[in-house]
Amino acid sequence: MTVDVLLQQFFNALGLGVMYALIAVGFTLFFGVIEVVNFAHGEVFMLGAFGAMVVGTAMAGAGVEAGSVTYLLAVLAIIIIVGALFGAALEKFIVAPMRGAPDIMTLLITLGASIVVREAVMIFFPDGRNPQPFPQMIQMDSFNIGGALIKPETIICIVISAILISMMYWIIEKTALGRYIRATAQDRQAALMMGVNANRVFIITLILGSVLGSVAGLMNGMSYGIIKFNMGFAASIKGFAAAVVGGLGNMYGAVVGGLLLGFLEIFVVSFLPNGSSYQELVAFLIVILCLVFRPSGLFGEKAYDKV
Amino acid sequence: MLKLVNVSTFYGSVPVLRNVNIHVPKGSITCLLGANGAGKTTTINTILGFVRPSAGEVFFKDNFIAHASTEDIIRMGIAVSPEGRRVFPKMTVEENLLVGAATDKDKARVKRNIERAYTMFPRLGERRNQNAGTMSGGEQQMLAVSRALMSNPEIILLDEPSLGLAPLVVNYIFDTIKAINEGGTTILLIEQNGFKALQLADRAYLLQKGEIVAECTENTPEAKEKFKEIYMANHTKKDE
Repeated sequence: MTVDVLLQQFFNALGLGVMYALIAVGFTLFFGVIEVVNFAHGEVFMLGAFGAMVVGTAMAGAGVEAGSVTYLLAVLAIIIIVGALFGAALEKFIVAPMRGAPDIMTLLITLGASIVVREAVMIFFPDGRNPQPFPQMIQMDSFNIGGALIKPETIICIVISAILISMMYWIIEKTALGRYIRATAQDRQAALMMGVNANRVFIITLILGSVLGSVAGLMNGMSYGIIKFNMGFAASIKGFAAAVVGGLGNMYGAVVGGLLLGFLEIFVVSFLPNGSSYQELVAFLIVILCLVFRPSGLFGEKAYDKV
Repeated sequence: MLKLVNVSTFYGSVPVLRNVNIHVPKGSITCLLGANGAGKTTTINTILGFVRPSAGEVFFKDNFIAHASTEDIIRMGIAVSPEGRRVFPKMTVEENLLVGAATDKDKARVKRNIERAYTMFPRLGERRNQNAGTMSGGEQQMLAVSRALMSNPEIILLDEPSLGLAPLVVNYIFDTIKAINEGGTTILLIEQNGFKALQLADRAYLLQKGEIVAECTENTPEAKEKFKEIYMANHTKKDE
């Protein structure tokens, strides 16, 4: 095994890991703050990818050079808006009406919403049943790092994720809004007693998490060049697995869980004989192991340890 | 300042409060006593809008508040130090105080209020960057009281501030309550163990099984003595 191959796989794993981490942070925020398991979270991932494709194709048609910096930034901006709208709609029409209902109800209704969105894209998107080619988002040569050729998409994904996760850290730890989010996660009623507007906290949490999910969808399209209406399902399982490994409700645990899952998958694919057939198993396996041996996650502390 | 008029509250079909009348005049320390399960915390939850009374009205400064949102009620000038303190365990002392100021947009005033809290409880100042969950019960109670003061309330509801604390710490907390009151804040003090609270109080009510069974509306030794007798009788009855 040479250094360049290791480096190559390291960057592949990192690129995959940050994508899982972005999805996992959403799951963990929703669980920690709003106390819902949002099964529709995979669909914002899918919508992010489809939105990027539609916007990208339209812009290329309108004469913006595909793959230029403005092109990528414009797509990113619109995807962020798509994610925010999805999150706000989810709170308004799905999560808020179920507030106070048993957890299983919220769980089922998000699952229902997920199926509706997925099937709607399949039926109403032109040729939605089939895989769609994803427009090229950047035109750049591959980076040569230590002899390994790293795709520019991978580097961009890692950079965007690092920026987004740092921003999340800043929002949660340093701003007044973040304090209200943490307070609500730790003791919702006490936060209400302080006059914290919980409804605002809920909708903002859903918007933040969904934006991360939609950007992850864009990153998925960039990395693989092909997207499909049902891509959200697998992504949500991976993201959920990563969140469980990190301890549901623990944002930093979710980031670590995502990276861990990315590295494990790439390890299995590249270093085990016939490994790629087992890639999809990794997520399930570590969820099962985690639930059996560390139900509160790798960094599990006490029950109040949220966000 | 705060008035409950004929308030009845149900949890489902179970009546928890029946025809409760409480009047907390401006500037007073009013004390609400009662055993476990008498409905003391439900009274607080009704005032704060967490449960809606099925009959009766809650007035605050002549506004009906029984159907206002909790946030609006806090904004009007009611603050609470909840039962069991309920500080945010994974946040620092200072962050807890800042959450207490959630309804205050004036940054300079928030800063002044934080300094005031540290002056009132130097211990909190020493631990401003420590997570609240790692502090002792007494320190958490100081934090809960200071956090309630952060919203510049006109009235504070103190739900069992002595719960689970050592007698010396209780004395300290009660001295502070008196000082806060002398600073102009009205206080509704809710206690299970009432003798200490009675010494402090201008007025007192005794809640039993959701009903006010005794009240002391004059701040005179005779009236208090009479109230104490009823309270004692109730107390011993409960113990039998």
